[in-house]
Amino acid sequence: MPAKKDKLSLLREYLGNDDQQIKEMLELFLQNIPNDLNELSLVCKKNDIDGIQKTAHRLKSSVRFFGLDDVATLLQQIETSSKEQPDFKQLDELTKQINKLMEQELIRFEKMLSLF
Amino acid sequence: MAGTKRPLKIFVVEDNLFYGELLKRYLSLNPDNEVYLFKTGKECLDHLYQKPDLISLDYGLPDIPGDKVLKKIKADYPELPVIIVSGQEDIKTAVSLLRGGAYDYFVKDDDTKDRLWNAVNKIRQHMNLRDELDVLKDEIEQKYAFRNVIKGSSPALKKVFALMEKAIHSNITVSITGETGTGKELVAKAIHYNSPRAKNPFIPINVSAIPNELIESELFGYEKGAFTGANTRKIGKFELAEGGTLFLDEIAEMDVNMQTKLLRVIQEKELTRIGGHEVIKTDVRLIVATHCNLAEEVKKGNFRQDLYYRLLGLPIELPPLRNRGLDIILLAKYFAEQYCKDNGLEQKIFTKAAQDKLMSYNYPGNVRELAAIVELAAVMSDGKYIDESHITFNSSGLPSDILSEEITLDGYNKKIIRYFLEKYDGNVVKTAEKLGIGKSTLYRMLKTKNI
Repeated sequence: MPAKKDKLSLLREYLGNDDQQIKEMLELFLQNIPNDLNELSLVCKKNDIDGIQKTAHRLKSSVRFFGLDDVATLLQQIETSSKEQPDFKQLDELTKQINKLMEQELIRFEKMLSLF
Repeated sequence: MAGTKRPLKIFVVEDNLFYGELLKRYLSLNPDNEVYLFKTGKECLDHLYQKPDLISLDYGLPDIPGDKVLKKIKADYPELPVIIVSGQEDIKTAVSLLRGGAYDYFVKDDDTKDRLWNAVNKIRQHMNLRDELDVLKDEIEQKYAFRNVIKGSSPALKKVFALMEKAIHSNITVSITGETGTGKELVAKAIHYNSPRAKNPFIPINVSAIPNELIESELFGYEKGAFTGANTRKIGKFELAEGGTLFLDEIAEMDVNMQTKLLRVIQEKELTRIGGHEVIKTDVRLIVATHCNLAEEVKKGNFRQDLYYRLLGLPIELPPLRNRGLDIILLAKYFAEQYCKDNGLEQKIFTKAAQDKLMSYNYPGNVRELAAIVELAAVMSDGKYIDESHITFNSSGLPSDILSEEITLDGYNKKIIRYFLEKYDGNVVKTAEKLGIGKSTLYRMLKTKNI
């Protein structure tokens, strides 16, 4: 998984190669992502356009940082459609896809964290 | 102290907890950074009172849009650098934010790390320079606190202090007269740096040091191509002194044609650069100085009367050192102390004879001359004391206006004897011969009059 290795390298660069800090930041990522995903599902169910837009936008930064481009693209789609003509069914569908992709990614991140 | 570095206080405003924490930790790698993380625009605005040095602002905040946060920051802190970090590239938004006063605009990508680091370092350098400038300005203000500049407590000087106080608390033109070496420029600087104009420039110009044909361009500047050799625009001293003080030293030396031009600028409070058309408003306080009697110059037709009245303003006449009595000793001690301090020497004490010798001289070069005499004496003295043998007067020393001081006949005798002794290197025979008295008489006088 070279792409992931690159992102861990970038994290190392950001944190001055400090293993303890890398561990803490991975933990923070793993804590926050499920919360944000839950929130995205919740606002989708509520048809809360503003909430959908903001949550998708917020999630994008950390997902992009780790090179999870497929997820980032889906989040961008959600953000764009929620600004234009929101199709709640489509938004719900996109959110489910994101959850599915992230489920696998989070397992990889858990493994990465166990190395520290 | 100039050069002392303080931490750079950085606000990171980011709603993504992971990304915000990452930027915070990253910027904290430099121990000179003090980084604070805020999740919303409101939190950031509520903490602006803590006076950050720079803000890294996420454009897509949940509560207040980034452009609005920027606008609010700039309204209260227009000088505060704000770097916008955006989730997506949008040239139109970027241009609009930069026009709105943003320091820079980055997209969150792999280059963010280096771009942010470089921008922070640039801002740090700028902040350090600004801090150093502030310290230097404070030092100058302290240096020119006028009782630090002009030492003495003689009645003649007290009059000067009283007039300086008046000058400091008004915007009136000041005309300073006094012999060479009495400290005319120091007085001008002290007035400026203690006045409400202190934060703006003090620009001195010595009229006698600039050829007549150049003085106009020095004062008013010129446009590119105004004459052969004018390859670039030059800003004149009047414009450089905007909001501050222009000190025209040796004003009596100004050419009559130039006096007319100066009068017009003073009256109209506006000027035009040579070769230019733009009329430039000026807000400059004038302080002028001369060692001549300007009124006499007016009588002789060398100085325009209308300009004389414009410039006279508040006249301050600096007394010659010989009229300042014990200020001579006070100043001598001050100069000796400063000289020893600057050169790492043990502090020196003037013997009674040395003090008497200093008091006997007329100082045609005034304070400047006294400083030179004292420095030389400090160099010549090997021990703790400066005695009369260490004090050398280089100019004639004979009081040309000997009667200006009201001293006893005995006092005049001492002065005259000291003058001739000095002149003939202590040769008593020669001195007696010049004074038309016998050698024994002179010896007796030296003994009885304690010369």
